[in-house]
This record gives sequence, structure tokens and C-alpha cells, in this order.
Amino acid sequence: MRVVYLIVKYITVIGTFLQAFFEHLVCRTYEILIEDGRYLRANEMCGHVEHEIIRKRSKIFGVCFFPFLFNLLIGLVLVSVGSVNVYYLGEFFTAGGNLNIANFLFLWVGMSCLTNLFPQMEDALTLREEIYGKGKSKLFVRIIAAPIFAVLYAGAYLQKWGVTLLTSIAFSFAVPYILGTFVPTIYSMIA
Amino acid sequence: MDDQKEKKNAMPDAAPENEAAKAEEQAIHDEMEDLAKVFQEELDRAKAEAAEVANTVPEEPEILIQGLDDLPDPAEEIQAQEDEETEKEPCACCGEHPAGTHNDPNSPYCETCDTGLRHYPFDFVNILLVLAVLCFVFYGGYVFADHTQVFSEVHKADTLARQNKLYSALDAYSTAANTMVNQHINGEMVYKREILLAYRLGGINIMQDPAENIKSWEMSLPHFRSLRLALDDAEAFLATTDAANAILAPYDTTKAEDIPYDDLIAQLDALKDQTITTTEAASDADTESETTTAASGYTPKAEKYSVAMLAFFKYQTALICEKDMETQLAFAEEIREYGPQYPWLYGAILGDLYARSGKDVEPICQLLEAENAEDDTPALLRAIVKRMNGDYDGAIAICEEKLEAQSSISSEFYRQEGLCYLAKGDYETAYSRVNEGFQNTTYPSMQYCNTLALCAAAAGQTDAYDEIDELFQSSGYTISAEVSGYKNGTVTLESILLEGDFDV
Repeated sequence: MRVVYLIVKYITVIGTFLQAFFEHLVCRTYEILIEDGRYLRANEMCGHVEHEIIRKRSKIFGVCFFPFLFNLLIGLVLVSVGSVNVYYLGEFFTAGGNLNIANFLFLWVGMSCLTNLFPQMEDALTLREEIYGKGKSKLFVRIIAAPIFAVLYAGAYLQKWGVTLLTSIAFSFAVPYILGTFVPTIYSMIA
Repeated sequence: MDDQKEKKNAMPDAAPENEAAKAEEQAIHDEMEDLAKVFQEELDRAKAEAAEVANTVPEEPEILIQGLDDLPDPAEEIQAQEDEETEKEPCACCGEHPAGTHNDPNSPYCETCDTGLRHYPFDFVNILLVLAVLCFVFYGGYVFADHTQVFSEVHKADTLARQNKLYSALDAYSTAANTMVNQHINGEMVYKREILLAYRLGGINIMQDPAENIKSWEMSLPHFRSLRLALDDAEAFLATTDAANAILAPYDTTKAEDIPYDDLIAQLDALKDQTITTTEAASDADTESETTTAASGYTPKAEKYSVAMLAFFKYQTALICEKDMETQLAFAEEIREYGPQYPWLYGAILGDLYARSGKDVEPICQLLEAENAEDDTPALLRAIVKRMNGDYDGAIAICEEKLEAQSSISSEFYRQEGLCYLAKGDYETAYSRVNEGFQNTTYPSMQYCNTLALCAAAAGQTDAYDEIDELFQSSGYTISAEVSGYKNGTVTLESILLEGDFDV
């Protein structure tokens, strides 16, 4: 499965790179010791930076959540453009008849980012330990953190097996219909 | 025995010696106790002094007198320090300094490396790459905003299509296609959906123009397969229409009894087995269109004539030859048999024939409604059935409702309303309603003109009747025998409206 993981990581290299960059950025912001800052290593750490074990709840949450958030925002914007133009409108070629490379790039980069949203499994487990470990958090925090933790934990598990590529492809097909629920309304209000 | 005697004799002499020994032992014991007491006192005093020394700050000696031998050897000190350092692991990062930091003595890194690794530097190229991606994201946002209008219009069309409001959907697709042209967006999937919708509605003639925006080689790809099949099918329809018109055109103005019905039907039947040739497939106008298409888009191919369309032309032949309703119905059923996927082709015809022959029209109405919620044919069929059953008010109510909704077949609702008023004996209203419909119709049918003539005759509008008669004559036709018979008094209104096909 490591091969599948690496293949997915290299297919979605832009998202892999961005995720590692944002993880690096967050670690630096939190002054977390990074032991290996190479982004595209050919092992399980591909798309992640190797950092010290984090034993502070806010820091491990930040390391898991912010790269997820940044990649999600970038992925949503680009997948929206790409899937609307390619899947929905079918703008494969420009009006001049040339291949519309930009649209395919939007789609690929967007899907790359959405494929690489989640933290590595070890970080997710640390997050679980820090939030749901015995006597670690109050009930209120546990409840509030539950949805985002569930997404991060499940995503980390799926990402470990490279399944997030399939989920991002499926999501990109659904995007035009999701956008259709509110974009025309907003457009008609503005225009 | 002698020894025992000696012992007994010796006892009184040993007593003073034992007492001396006891006294000596007692003296030793006392001395030992004294010594223990002295030791204890000395120990207590030493402890007290030690405690006192520990509590008091030692005073510096006024004069430090130190011998050279007492001074530490610097070389030995360095050596000792080095020995101490070599006992610790070196830093895992630099390998020079000993591992461990102030905060974490067990850290594998030295203080300097620990601080550095907590501020791990970014590669300049990586920063540039991220900036490039961010610029790309902003460009993506701009492109999305640029496409929002088209997206909204296409989404509206898709929604209407999903709601089976096919006429509105086709208009919305057309609007979106125009916007795309203006914004230089080549949305091939939008053109595909527009073409397929036009095909579903029988808009064969409007399919080719949007298809020119799709490259010819793309038609072999899976996502355009349905489009290619539709275009080829439409081409077969057009070729069949051309071939059938070539057969029927000479009899356009011929009287029904003079048309060689059997010969025409045989000629139309013969087309089934023929292969379409290029010259037959394209009329002059189409040839021009295909030349353009061949340069940029897909050129549809049709090898065989459409059997369903041939059945339609056979029905038309039976109609112009004024054949009985059974014959017409047989051809209408044949259309459905060969082309069940074309309700636009047979639905209205079959429904009308069913209505006029007294058959149940509901299945056809439901089929047409399911196909296109905006199709007013089911309402028209229900109005006809109500009129034939004598429920004139019910029929008029349906017609009024559809006329208020500005139906696309409003002329037919005007006509049915007029027939209802005629049957009710309100000739003036009948004439005014049918005349109103006539004024609003660009290309009135012959049946409509005959109905107007009948209403005019019933209402005593002689001038209007004469105008219609002139209109017919100028086009090479004559007013129907039923209407002229009513005008001449040979036919009654009841026989026209309540017998035969219940219509003009």
C-alpha cells in the first residue's frame, strides 16, 4: 500500500507540496522542532515534514487543522473553476480552437489539494490522545472538537491508503451541482 | 577416688581466690562504661561542632597560604572537562556540541541546533512555487467570476430540463449559447445538451448549428456518443423528409380524389430498403450548411431512411387523400411502432385520432405530459374530448385557461373554443373568438381557415366569409365541402360538429 500511497502523492504532487509547505509554516509558527524538512521524500512522510512529538493540545490541533484548511480553500476555488469549466460547460477548447490547458490545470491542481488535506496518521493519533485522552480535556472541548476531529481522523486514515484521490474526483463531479444551489441565486442578486 | 578426695579437700582453700577474680572483673566493667561515656560525650560534642560549623559562614583566612602542589593543574582540568563531555552524546544535527538543552536535557540536539530547527528555514524556490500557486488561485477566481453568468444560465436551463419544462429549457440553452458566443466561451457540453434537447422535442432543423462548435474527431469519444447518434438520426430524418417531399410535392394542390394514393404509398414504402445517397441526403440549403460543418464540425451520416418518418409521410398522404380514420390511425400507430422514442412525432397525431374516434386519450396525454410538462397537446386533447361529449363549458374552461397562459398552440384553443360556441348556438362569440385567434396567428392552417369560414357563415359575416374564400382561391385551394355546404344550406351544423370526425 505504500506504493499506492506514493503514486497518489506524486500524481497529486502540487497538493502534496502545498500540504508539506503549510505544515512547515505552521510548525515554524508554533516553534515546533522540525527534524526533516524535505517535502517530497519517497516514504510515508511524503507530503509532510518530520517534526518532534507534540505534547500540547493547541499545537497539535494547529498542525493538523491549518494545513487542512489552507489546502481546502485552495482546492475548493480551483476545483470549482475546473469542474464547472471542464465537466459542466465542457470548455475543452478555447474559442480559437486551441486546447484550454488552464481549465485542466485548475481541475488537476484543485483535485491535488483536495487529495492532500489531512494530517499524517501519527499526528491524528496524537491529536486524539491530547483531546480524548483520559483527563486531557473537558467535556465541552471534546464535544466542540468532535466534528473536525472526526473529519481529520477519518481523512488521515483514508489518505494513508490513497483513497482521498477517489473522494476528490467524486467531489469534483459533484461541485457544479453544489454550486448550482446558491451561485445562480447570488448572481441574480448581484447582476 | 583419690582425685575426688583431693577436690573435696581443696574447696575451702579456693574461696578467697574467686572473690579476687570477681573484683577484677567488676573493675574492668566499670572502666569500660566510663570509656563508653567518654566516647559518647566526645561524639556529641563533635556533632554539635559540625552543626555549628555548617550553620556559620566560614571566614576567609586573612592570609592564604597555599603551596604550589595544592594549585589545580590546568591541563588536567581541561582533560577532565573533555572527559566529562565525551561521556554525553553529540548533537544529532551538528555533531559537534553535546546533545541536550536547557529545557530538555535529554534532547538529541544542542541548544543552537534546537533553536534553529524550531525555525526551520524555507527554501526560496518553495516560496516562489507557493506564490505561483496562490497567483494561479486568484486567476482561477477571476475565471470563475467571468463564467458565472454562463454557469447561471446553463444551470437554469438544466433545472428547467429536469422539471420537464422543455420549451423553456430550450430557450434558456439558446440564451446561454448566445452568452457563450459573446464571452468567447466554447462550452461544448452546453451545445451537446442543447442539441439533445432539440432532438427530444423534434427540432431537427436547429440541431446542426450548435453542433458546428464541436470538433469532428471528438464525436468518436464516449461522452459525445449520444450526440453523434442523435445527429445521425436527425440526418436520416432530414433525408427522409427530402425524399418524401420529392414524391409528394407534385400533388400539393391536387384534389384528394386525383392523388394516386396507392402509388404514393408504394413509393414511400420502397424508400425503406434504399440507401441514402449524398445528393438525396442534402438539399441545396443543406449542402451549404454541410460544407461549413465539414470544415470545423461534425458531418452527420445517415445510411438508411427513417422508417418512423416514412410512416409519418404515409399518414400525411392518407390525410391529404382524405382516407378514413382507420387508415390514418393505422399509419399513426405505425409511427409509434417504429419510433416509440419520438412522442413529438406521433403523440399529437395519435391523440387527435384517438379523440375523434372516441378512444381513451388519457394514456397518450400522460405520455406527452411526462415527456414535456409544457406541451399543451394533452390539454387540447382533453378539450376536444369534452367538446365531443357535449361538455362545452368544460372544454371552453380548458381553452380559456391555456389562452390566458399564452399557450404555444393558442390558435388551436381559439378554434376549439369557437367550435364549442358554435355547438352552443352562440355564433357571434364563436366568430369573434376564432377571428381573434386568426389575427394572432402568423401561419393559419387550412383547417383553421375553414373553421373561421364556418363561424363567419354561422354568424352571418358574409364579407368575412368572402375574404376567406378569396384567401383560399389565391393559394390554389377551395373552402371545404362541409363549410361551403353549410353556407349553401345543404349541410347542417350538427352534422359537421356532432357526426363523423366531429370537426371541420
